[in-house]
Amino acid sequence: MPPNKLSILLVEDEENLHEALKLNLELEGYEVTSAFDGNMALQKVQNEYFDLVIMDIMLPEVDGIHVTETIRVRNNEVPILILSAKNTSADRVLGLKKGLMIISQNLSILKNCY
Amino acid sequence: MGAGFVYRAVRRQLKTQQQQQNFMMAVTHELKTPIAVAKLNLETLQKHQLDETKRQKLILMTIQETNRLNSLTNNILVSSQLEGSSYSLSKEELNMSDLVKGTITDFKSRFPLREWELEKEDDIELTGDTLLLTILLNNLLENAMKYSPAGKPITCSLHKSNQAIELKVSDEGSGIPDIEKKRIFDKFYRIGNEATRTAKGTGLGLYLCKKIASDHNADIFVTDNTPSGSNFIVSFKIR
Repeated sequence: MPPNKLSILLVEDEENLHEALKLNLELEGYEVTSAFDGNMALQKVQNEYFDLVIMDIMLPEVDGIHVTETIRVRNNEVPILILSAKNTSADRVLGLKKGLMIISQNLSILKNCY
Repeated sequence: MGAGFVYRAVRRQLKTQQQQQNFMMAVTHELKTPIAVAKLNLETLQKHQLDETKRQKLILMTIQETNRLNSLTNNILVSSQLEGSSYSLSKEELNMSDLVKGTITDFKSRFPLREWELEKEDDIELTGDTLLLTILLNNLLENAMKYSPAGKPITCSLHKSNQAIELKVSDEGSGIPDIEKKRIFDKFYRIGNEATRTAKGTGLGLYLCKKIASDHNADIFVTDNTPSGSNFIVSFKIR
């Protein structure tokens, strides 16, 4: 349980996965804001402060890698964690090049971050 | 002339390779997502003492995702069996009206928030394979859900004329451009870019519908719905 309520932007278009992740993050004491596509994520990041962004790669409109790139181009250093089935070495290298912190398939990684 | 032949052959080969890569990418996503949701939900139920409403919601979501996994594996297995001729089509007398009614009832219970409409004549008989015809209708209904917004109704109708039995699934989504109307039935074909498309899928569903329709002496085609969306029509010829 984090000492203060940290805010997380959750970007995932799969409705059931989004709900399940949101519930778990809230149960762990995080404050969660939802976005369901790449453009919505970019708008939220521009208008609000987040301690962390958790994002899928395959998203409608703009994919997660492009969202990351755009966020970095705007000089926003918010940590971005990609939670995706696409986790080959090539995917990881591309993600890190574009400004991601880490690519994971498992949310338990958060315990080591905060 | 020789160079033209080689160029077309190489181009065709590259296109097939690209479609197969897209298929693998789509299947990875389509298989891993329901597994991830089911696993996460079960772990959540195991770890936390949740109130009854939240418990029921997690259980419903898990059932929906396992059904999705079931449809996907059916599509992959049956298309591979139909192509390899290891599936022998069963030709039984079946009540198509009951099959359609049963499938819609199933979708109503699986997706209670969607609006389902059924217009059918009773006791329409057809000779065919119950499993394959159920897969065909499931694929059309799942597509209608994927490609239309949640607030819009999905209509399924079944009618018989002198020449044909017509099964129709209509949605009120954004519709399909004319140029794509034939291509969508090609194996692995999907509209748009794999990484950014709105609706997920494998490019197998409509290909399989076409194969099943053709094995039942039926035509399948798509027309524009009014005011928006698509009608997928399967027309079974009466011999």
